[in-house]
Amino acid sequence: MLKGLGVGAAASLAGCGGLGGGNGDGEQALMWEYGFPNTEGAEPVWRNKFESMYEELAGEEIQISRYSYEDLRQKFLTGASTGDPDAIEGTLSHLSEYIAAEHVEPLDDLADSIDHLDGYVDSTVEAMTYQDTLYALPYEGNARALFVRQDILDELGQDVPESAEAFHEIGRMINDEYDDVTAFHNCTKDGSVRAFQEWMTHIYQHTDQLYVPDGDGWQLNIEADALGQVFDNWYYQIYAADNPVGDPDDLGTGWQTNDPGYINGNYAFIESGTWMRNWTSGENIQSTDAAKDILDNKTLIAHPAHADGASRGTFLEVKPVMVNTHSDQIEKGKTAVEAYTHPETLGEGMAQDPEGSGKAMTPVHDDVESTIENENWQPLTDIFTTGRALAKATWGPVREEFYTYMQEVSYGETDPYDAGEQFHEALQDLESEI
Amino acid sequence: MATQTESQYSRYKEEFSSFLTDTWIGYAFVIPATVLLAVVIGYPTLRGLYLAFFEVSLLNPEQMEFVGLQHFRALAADPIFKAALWHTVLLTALAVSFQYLLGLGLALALKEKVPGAGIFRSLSMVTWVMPIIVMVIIFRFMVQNGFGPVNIILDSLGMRTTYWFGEPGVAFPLIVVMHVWRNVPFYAISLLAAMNSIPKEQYEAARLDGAGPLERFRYVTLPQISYVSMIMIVLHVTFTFKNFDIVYLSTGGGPLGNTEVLATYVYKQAFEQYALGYGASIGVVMLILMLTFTIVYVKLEEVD
Amino acid sequence: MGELEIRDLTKVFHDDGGDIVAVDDLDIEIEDGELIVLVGPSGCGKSTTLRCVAGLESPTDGDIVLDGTAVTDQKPKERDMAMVFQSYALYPHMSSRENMEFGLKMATDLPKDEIRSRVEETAEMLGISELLDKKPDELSGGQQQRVALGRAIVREPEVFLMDEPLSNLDAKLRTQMRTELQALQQDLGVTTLYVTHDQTEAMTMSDRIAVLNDGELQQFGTPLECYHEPENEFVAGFIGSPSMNFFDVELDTTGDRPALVHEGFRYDLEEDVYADIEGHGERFTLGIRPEDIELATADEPNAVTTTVEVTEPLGEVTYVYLEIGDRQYTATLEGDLVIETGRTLTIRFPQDRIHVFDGQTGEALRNRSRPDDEVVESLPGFQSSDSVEAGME
Repeated sequence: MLKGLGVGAAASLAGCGGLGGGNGDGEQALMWEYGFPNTEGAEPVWRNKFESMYEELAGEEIQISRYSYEDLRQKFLTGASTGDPDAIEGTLSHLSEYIAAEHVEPLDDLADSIDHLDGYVDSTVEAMTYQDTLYALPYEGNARALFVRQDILDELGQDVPESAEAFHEIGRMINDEYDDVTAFHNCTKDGSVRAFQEWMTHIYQHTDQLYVPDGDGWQLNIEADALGQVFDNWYYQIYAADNPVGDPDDLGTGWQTNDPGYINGNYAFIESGTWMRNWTSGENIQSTDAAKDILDNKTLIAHPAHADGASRGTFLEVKPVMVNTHSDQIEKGKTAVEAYTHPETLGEGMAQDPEGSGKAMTPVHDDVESTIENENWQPLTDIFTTGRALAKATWGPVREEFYTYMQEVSYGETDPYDAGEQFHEALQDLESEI
Repeated sequence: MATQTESQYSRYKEEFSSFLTDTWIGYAFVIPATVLLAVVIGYPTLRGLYLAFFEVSLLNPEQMEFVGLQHFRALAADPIFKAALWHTVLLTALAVSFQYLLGLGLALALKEKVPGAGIFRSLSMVTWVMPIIVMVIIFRFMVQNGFGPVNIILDSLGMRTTYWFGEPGVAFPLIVVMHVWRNVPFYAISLLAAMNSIPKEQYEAARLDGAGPLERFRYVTLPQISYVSMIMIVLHVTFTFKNFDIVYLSTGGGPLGNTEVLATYVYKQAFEQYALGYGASIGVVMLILMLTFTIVYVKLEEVD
Repeated sequence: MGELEIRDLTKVFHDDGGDIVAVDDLDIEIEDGELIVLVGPSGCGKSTTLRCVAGLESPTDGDIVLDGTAVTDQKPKERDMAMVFQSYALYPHMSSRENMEFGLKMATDLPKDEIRSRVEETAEMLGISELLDKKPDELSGGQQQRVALGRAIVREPEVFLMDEPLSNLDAKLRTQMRTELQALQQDLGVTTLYVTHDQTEAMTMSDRIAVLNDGELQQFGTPLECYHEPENEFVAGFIGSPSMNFFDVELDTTGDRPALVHEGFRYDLEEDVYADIEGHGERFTLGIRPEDIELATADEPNAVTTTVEVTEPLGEVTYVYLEIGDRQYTATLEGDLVIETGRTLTIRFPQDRIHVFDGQTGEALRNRSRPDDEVVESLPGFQSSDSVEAGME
């Protein structure tokens, strides 16, 4: 009988032998990412370049797995200690969380060993640093900009709005004049990461950082009134006020509505970024030709409008590539980071890729030439310099509070300035939690 | 006396070992899988229960601070938890009721030998096998502002149009509709199978006894599908109660918390607030509720 | 008054292969209180007929008439008939009592206690009073059968319809239930239409038998009529076990006497026999029942020499399987005889016991003579003539 049990046990365990990072030596490194475009048919230039760069540096191949950012984050937070993956890319808010959870390996020694370190734009390297330790290297940077339908402004004889007031006025004018175009859309879906980023875009016009370090903790660095103004200008006026600048029927939607919506010609203004440059096909796009026309000919990039008393500023996303500190192959992980962020990969890979080249319009490394060829898109470079990156707080609880208040204001349940007061209190309470 | 018990004992030993030699191979096949299942299901459940009594952060899972029943006390005072609980219970009750009634109706319809019934039977399963994200995308498209078919129809009738998932008061019924749309075929097929196993002579006897179609349904069909019905209902109450993705993908729990359910709340607590312990305590509440329901319902069914 | 008439009943089923005529122009009149058995091989249309009478199928043509009123268009529940199914069709989730109450609950306005007492009376009559609170799956086959019967009886219908009710029972139980059923039916006096494929049941239980084949009525008569005076070869071969022996013969009028010639023997015909078959062509079928075959000596007229192939001693009688010509035939002889296989046996067919059928149509041209009334009445113990009938109308 024991023999039988043994046989049975062996048979069933054989099935799960391959599970869970039994990484001895000789095993290929594993990287998780979401950056490479999901090219169907077109040649994956960027991905190929990365793979060959890695092979050059490491002498062997690398395994790549693709997950959406939400999935990447969840899986990594819960499973990083298994040792898989060896390297991972993501967003700045991910980096903060991973650092707090002690899942990322410091990369100071890697930084010392590479020659091209100096070429990285200062603000981007700073964004990768926490308490004087470097935890990641950057590969992509984009600042939120205002996308403007220049042709519509020309028809109305208007200039690009700089103040929030002007923005609202022109927006209302557009709504009156055009039946099939809505002036503006931003995300109001509960839980939408994009909604949070759009909000931060305007917060950074009122303050350099929402929270500043206070010893080991954080201190809230904004006035309640400023919070109220942001709620008023970018949510109340857009959806809940009389003659709203946006379309209240759009309430509850996410990026699926504003990005493709702008490309399809439904909106005159949105706040978006470099990834839009080559987005001319896919299931959300109605007509490739119309899309190209709008992006190439009719779009002007401008600084996001700001309230009186605020200044130019915007949300800066810098995407980090990190090494899993629990990995068995830290060296290979570091090589992956090096390969992914290498100026050659960025210049000959990302910038040359037919779908990814937009991301290189505001490159993070001096050696990489910007791919901006259309002068309408030129302002991106300037806007990039006004961008602020998220502080290394763990933003989850802040996001949760934000969604609640944002929806209350957008649906007209709460006055924006009252919401600002209450939100201010709540954010202060969170100082010790993040 | 000693020899008597000794011989009894050795007899038992003999019987047991002969039983074993006859059946060992069966056990050998079954035990590994059972052990695996116990580990995969049992361990996380127990760990979840354990976590509920600690303060743990997702970012530092090793640092666990014992807090006893504090989380449960907090739950009792948490308005979002209460709202989520109410939404979950309401959603489950409505969804399962409609699913059952419509599934029963569909089964009765599929039972008829109408031309095309066979093809229809296969087609009707489509909604159930479709991945949830696809279903959400379809519904999102249908109720989308402007181009959504639902809004086009409403517009032509002169009624209000909007993105219905963003509309408080409508988002919740829409979630119910999605659940029902998805699961009705599963009910229909199972109930149909149960109905087909009822010998048709009983219906003939009932006809001769003077029972009309409704009475035949009530006295012949219904009692004999009650066992299958019970299984379906228990399964679906459990599925619906803990369902996460349908709500999260479509509304995220909004608008204004209108569609927040326990599953989405747990997710937000665990992955956004990093509060694993608190999330686990909500999970414990869900576990208790589901166990109670299942035990009570199955017992009631057995009384027959 | 349960007078049931089946008039010109025709039922045709349409399927992809074509049309199947299940019942073809069936015409039967049933008196009040009679037990009529519909018998025939599988697929002969007997069940279909029953279902048409019940209203579970609608006839393609023809009428069902109960007490002078045509019920053909009425729903089953309106016809005042109760049916007992082969599989009993009891409601599995109800107790026996509830099963029996169901019809009364559904079809009548009777108050609860009235229903209750009726059910209990019927249960008493059937001997199932202690089973009333049990569910069907707790009962044996025979007990379930009684509950099904009870369910039918309690409704006090004009007609009982029974669809092979005993087929699912074991042999011993079947025999017992046969007699019980018959007694019950006579007690209650309810007109009964009973379907079976078993000719023993037909013979023993019925007042009259309707023999069907391929949807057509072959004969409608009392059991003994069908036995002794079959109207055609089919009935002759179907009724009676072991079944009648049939010989393909040709008429030979060339010799002194007309004779029927078989490859294994020659059978001289008497005048009266010949008179019956004259003018019906040359080819005939000669039939004789196994029990009518007698042992003979070789010198007797129409003696037939045969070889014994198999014997089956049953104690009371012995079945002897004989080879005549190239085929095997059956004779039922006394049980005391010991006959070894392989030996030669001489037999004869008494002329007053033979049946002759038309070689082409199968129609009976001559049957054996009827058993005499006087023969029976002279038996000791049978004095009054109204205590027995000799199997004839």
